Amino acid sequence: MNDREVAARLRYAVKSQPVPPELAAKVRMRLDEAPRGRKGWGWMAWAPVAAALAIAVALGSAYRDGHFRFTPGQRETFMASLLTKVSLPMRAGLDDHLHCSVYGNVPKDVPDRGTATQHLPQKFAPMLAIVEAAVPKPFQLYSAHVCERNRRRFVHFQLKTDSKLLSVIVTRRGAGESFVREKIAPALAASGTPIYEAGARRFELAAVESGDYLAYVVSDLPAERNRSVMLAMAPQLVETLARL
Amino acid sequence: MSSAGTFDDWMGEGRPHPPSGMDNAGGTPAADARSAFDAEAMPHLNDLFRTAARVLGDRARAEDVVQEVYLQAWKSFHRFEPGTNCRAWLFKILFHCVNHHRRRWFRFPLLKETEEFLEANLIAPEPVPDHLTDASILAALDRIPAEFRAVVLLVDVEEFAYKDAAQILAVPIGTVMSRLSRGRKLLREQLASVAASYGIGKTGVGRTGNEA
Repeated sequence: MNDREVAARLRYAVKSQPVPPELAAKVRMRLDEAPRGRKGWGWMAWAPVAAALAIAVALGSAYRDGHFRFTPGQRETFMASLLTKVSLPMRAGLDDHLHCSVYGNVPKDVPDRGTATQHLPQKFAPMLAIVEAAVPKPFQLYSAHVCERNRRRFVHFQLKTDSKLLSVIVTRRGAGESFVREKIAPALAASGTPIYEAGARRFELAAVESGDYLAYVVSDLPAERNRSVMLAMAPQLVETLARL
Repeated sequence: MSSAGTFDDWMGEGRPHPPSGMDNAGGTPAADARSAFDAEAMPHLNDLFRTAARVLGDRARAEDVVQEVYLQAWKSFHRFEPGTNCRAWLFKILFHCVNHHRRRWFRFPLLKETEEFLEANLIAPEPVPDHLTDASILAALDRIPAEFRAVVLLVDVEEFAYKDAAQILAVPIGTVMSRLSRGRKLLREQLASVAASYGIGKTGVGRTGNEA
């Protein structure tokens, strides 16, 4: 036999082999039980990709908001990038909030009032009641203190909920820092007190100026809620600062 | 001899059975897909089984593998383009499954072993006696290494083109050709050896019936 004849003979021998009669039924049964690809693991195959994408987007968004900045250099770079987004008179308040509250040490547990205010100078004690009256209920006072950033001193009220940070910050006006002088249009006026606003990524600022002082409310609340805090305290705050 | 007869038996009147749990009468997309799958894929069941049985050398395992082939094919049937070669697609899945199972069931024969086998066994082509039974032919086929047996089955038995066989086995077409050549030589030698052991001479004409 030549190759062709061997192949034909082989084909005949193989094709003559019986096939189990129940095999077709078994296959059918398996198919009946199985989900079809597109509705079954066709979609499932994309699930890890979708999950990875969602995680990447979430991580990217969190990084843009200032999270995962582990070294002082990374934090300073992030803070500097945010400061360029607001006007000169706004920068001091945002800088102190970022440095002292966002990347600083806010106590983990809410302290008693005496502990929270032990480092607040007597001169600024009247502001405490104004701040507490204006800030909405879920926020609690974690610290009222004087802090320093770039050789500049700030009176800083740190308030917190489970997920939000809010700072009321007062500082002496620096050279050239004036909303009026820079002709920055006030967002609105509370009893004749102009309130100035700005935003940088997730942070919202509302500010007033009085005499030698600038006062800020800085938080990661929505703009209108952040503004309402300043609206509630602005008249008394300005009056108190004017007396200092 | 054709697999169509068995398939027609299985299909009853030549129409697909409505599968349990599926409404075939309503013409739903799922039922339509299943009908299309039945029409395209099921006629090749017998060929797939026989090839699997010869490659694996075990009918029970061949049954398992063929069921798995159809399951995989059904799950990815939405990617199958009607009008393309469904038979080649199924055989490709078959060899994918066979390789997967072979790794699990046996130690996969290394190419080195195959080459050693060839060196030890491949001599000048033997004349093949005409008078051979199906059993002796299949016994000879089963004795050649799996890589060569697979190519001989695909090209000589299932009559796939070299190009299709290469795609099914995921090897270059040159590899198919060389394995086929070696496989045929090995088969001839095994046939001569089997025939000699049965006391069959080198003369005589005709073929026997189904004796396996």
